[in-house]
Parts: sequence; structure tokens; C-alpha cells
Amino acid sequence: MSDGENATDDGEPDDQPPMEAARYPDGTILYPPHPLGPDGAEPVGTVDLSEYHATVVTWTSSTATPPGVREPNHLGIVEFDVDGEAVRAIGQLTTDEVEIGDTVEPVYVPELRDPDAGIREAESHSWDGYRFRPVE
Amino acid sequence: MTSVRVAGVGLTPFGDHGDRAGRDLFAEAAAAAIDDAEIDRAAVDQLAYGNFMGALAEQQGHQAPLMAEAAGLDCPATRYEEACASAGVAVKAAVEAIRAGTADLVVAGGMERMNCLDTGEATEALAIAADELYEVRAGMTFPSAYALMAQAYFDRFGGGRADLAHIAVKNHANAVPNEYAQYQREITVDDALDAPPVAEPLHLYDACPITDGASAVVLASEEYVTANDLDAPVEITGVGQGGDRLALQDRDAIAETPAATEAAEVAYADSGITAADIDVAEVHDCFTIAEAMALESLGIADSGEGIVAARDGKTTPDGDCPVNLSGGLKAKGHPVGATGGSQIAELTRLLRGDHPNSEHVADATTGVAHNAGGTVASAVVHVLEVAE
Repeated sequence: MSDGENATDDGEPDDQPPMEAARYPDGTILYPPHPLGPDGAEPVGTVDLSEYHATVVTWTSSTATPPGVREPNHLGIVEFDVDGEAVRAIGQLTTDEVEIGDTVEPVYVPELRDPDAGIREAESHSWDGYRFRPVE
Repeated sequence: MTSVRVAGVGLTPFGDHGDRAGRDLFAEAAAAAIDDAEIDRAAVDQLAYGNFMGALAEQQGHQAPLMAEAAGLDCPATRYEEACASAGVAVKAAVEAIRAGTADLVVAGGMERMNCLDTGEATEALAIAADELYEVRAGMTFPSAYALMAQAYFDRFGGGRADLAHIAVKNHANAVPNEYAQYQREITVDDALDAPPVAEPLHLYDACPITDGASAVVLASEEYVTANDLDAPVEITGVGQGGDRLALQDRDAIAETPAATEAAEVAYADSGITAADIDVAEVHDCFTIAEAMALESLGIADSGEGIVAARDGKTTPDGDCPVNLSGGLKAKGHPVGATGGSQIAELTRLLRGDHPNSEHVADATTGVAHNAGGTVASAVVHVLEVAE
């Protein structure tokens, strides 16, 4: 994204896609959205997780990364609390200055890894997504 | 329902086989198993073959008939793919075919070539067993996935890198006399602790190597064994498979492996054993932390105790339940699509008394093999017993 179309001057994207999770009839929220939720129920709505904070459940810093992936690659599984309903997501962390239990927020990134490197098929899907940044 | 006997086992040495084709590797393992069983090739009813990344490593799909041909078999052949549990599910399919009466004699096993890819390519090829859209896009690799599991485990149960090091040290020592092992050399706890990091808290000696190799076992119905006077003292008495959501983030349990627990419960019920009956086990230690979690799923260690089992001597060769006497994936090597079959082959040798480490389990009658795919979204457990 070199044309700045997806990012404003302060680095905050102006048309970022939602970090979309699905809500099911029993209140369960799943990320990514699954076609069927608990008891085979279809989703009844969506939740944009980028509007919520999350807690770090586990994380690592990977130094042996494959082609096209930043090195080191800080990765975490985080748990969002959406009005009392827990839902987890995996994603890159903006820093390794983090501990289990810390609060983080999603920040949009237009390209999480280089789709032209290694064995990837660049046209197979999009490469943007969210990183998690500690909340001071 | 007939009982299923292991009539013969065969392995290639595990390691770097250079430019040897996959079909050549599987032919070697299958020939060894068929020789060991002393059967007529023409009598084989089916081939159940495991392979994971052959389409990337050798650009070869539709491998099963090719492998049957290489092994000199003229029978229907099916490839099973369940990531690193591919050969485990192939063996399970073979057991079920014999039990169902649709086959009397089946060759099962698997093959993987990995060293024809460089380390980065091999890491990426392995990563296709994870969720491409949500895990791999973020740059997750299997070392980092197991690191996430290890950190969650430490946070929940305690333990640390020194505990992991004892698992690696044990499995390296076990591999020393094993002629098929990739690394027939000992390491020390300090070697493991001082090795470079791969994904914290996992360092180089916490990870299994990149391996080429093949495995094969000949399974036969009890009736076939009797009618043909085969020497097949080991029986597969229990099979179980468990499943979980593919992506780690999508599970409630990150520090545990419920799919393996489910597989073990099904296999133990099938065979009529309990965890207390297990004398010896081969478990899927693709990373040291994986052995700790496997022991807990199998009931060999209590919840939160798997991490100290090696350090406390419970799983060492002279412990209550020796684990990975072959060297495990860690030191024997991990040709992913062949591993599940190699565990059955090694456990059979251990129970028959013709494994270099059989002396440590001379009175053993019951063994368990645990083979896992991905971050244990798939798991297969087999129970092997010395037939009475």
C-alpha cells in the first residue's frame, strides 16, 4: 500500500476493514466467523473486534521465520472481552515488550507478510490484518 | 472381530537421503517389512500409505499407487493425509479394514522427503498444516505455535526451559544405539540450554530435525497368521482417533491436547487397558513441550506433571514408563508422513525384544503409540500388546 490510500498521515487507516467476528444465538462469539456455531446454529450478527481491547493469553518471539515474514516475528494469542463474552484471536504483536495478562488493542496493517516471498500464492487471499499493540 | 497382528516392520534410516526419490525410500521400508513378515507380496490385499507434503517436495500427487508399484504390490492403494499424523491414520485404517473383514493382509506406513527443500521452504511447507488465513498469514510456523503452547503451559502449570532440556537429553540418549536414528549422539542439559532460540521458550534442541525417511508395517488377521504359520507375537488391540479445531486460537485449551486425550480414551476402551497398564510408549515429541502434553493426555503423567516426568526419571529407560526409547521425533527424526508408522515399528521391536533398547523393557507387555497432526488438531493412539 504505497499510495497511502489505506492510511492517513498519522498512520491510522481511514478505510480499514473490520476485524470481523460472528455472533451466534446463544451469545457465543467466534473469530474467525464460522459458518455454524454451537449446536449448528447460524450466525445472527457480527462484531468488529478492532473496537475492543484484549488480554494476552500467550505469546512468543519467533527468530526462525520463513521467507516474507519479519524477523523476529512477535506473535500472540489474545482474548477479547466483548460485553462479558470471551473470544480469542492470534496475531502479530507490535513489540516484545509484553507479558501474559497485558492489555492490547488491534492496529490495522496493510500487509502482514510479503505475499511474493516463498511458496505463497499472492492472489490466493488478502494479506492485511491486525497487529496487537500494548495499551499504556 | 478378528485380532490384528503386526507380522513385520521395516524402516529406512532416518536423515538426509539426498536426491533419493520418495518411491525409492518407501520401497526400501516396505521390502524390509515384507521380509520381516516372511509373507508373499502377492497376498497383500491393500496398501494404506501416509504422506503429507509430497505435492510440494516432489511435485508428486496420487502417490499411493506409485508407492504400491515401488513396493512390488499389486493391490488397491490409498494415501492418507493428516499432517504429521498421516501414517498413524493409515495404520488405523489398516487395522479397521482387517477387523471389518475386508482385508486379511495390509501394508501400512508412510514416507516423507523434506531435505530437498531448504529450511525456510520446509518450514513453510509444514505450515500448510495450520490455518492459512488466520495463523499462517500472521507468520505463524510450527515452532512458534508450539512456543505459544509452551508459554501457556508454563503460565498455567509452571515449569521451564530446564525441564524441556531433560526431555531432549533423554531422547538423544535413547537414540544412540538405534541404527535408524538421525542423531545417534548424546547432548547435555547445558547444550540444550545454550542453543540458539527458535521461538521462545523453544531453542534448537527443543525441536525435531528435518528428516527424510519411510516406514512400513505388515498387519495381518489372526486367522491369516495361524493359517500361514507367521511369527507375529505383537497385537494391535486398541485404536483411537481424536479431533479438535484446526487453529490454536480457536480452542479453549492451549496448554493441553484434548484431541489426544480423546484418542487415548477411545483406544484404551477399545483394548480394555487403563493408563496404569502401559509399560512403554512412543509419543509425538515434535517439540519437547509436545512430549509433556502427550504424557498428560495418555494418562502416563497427571495434569501439570508431564513437564517434569523426564527430569524426575519417570520416563527415562530405567523409569516406571520409558518414553521414546527409539529416540523419539527429537533424535530419531521426523519424516512427517512416515512417523506414525515408525512408532508402530519401533514399539513392535521393543515388545518383541529385538530393538537395541529392548533390554530396558524386557518384561513389557503393553505399549502405546501417540501420533499427532498440527498443533494436535488430529491425534491417533494405538495400543500394542504381546499376544498371549
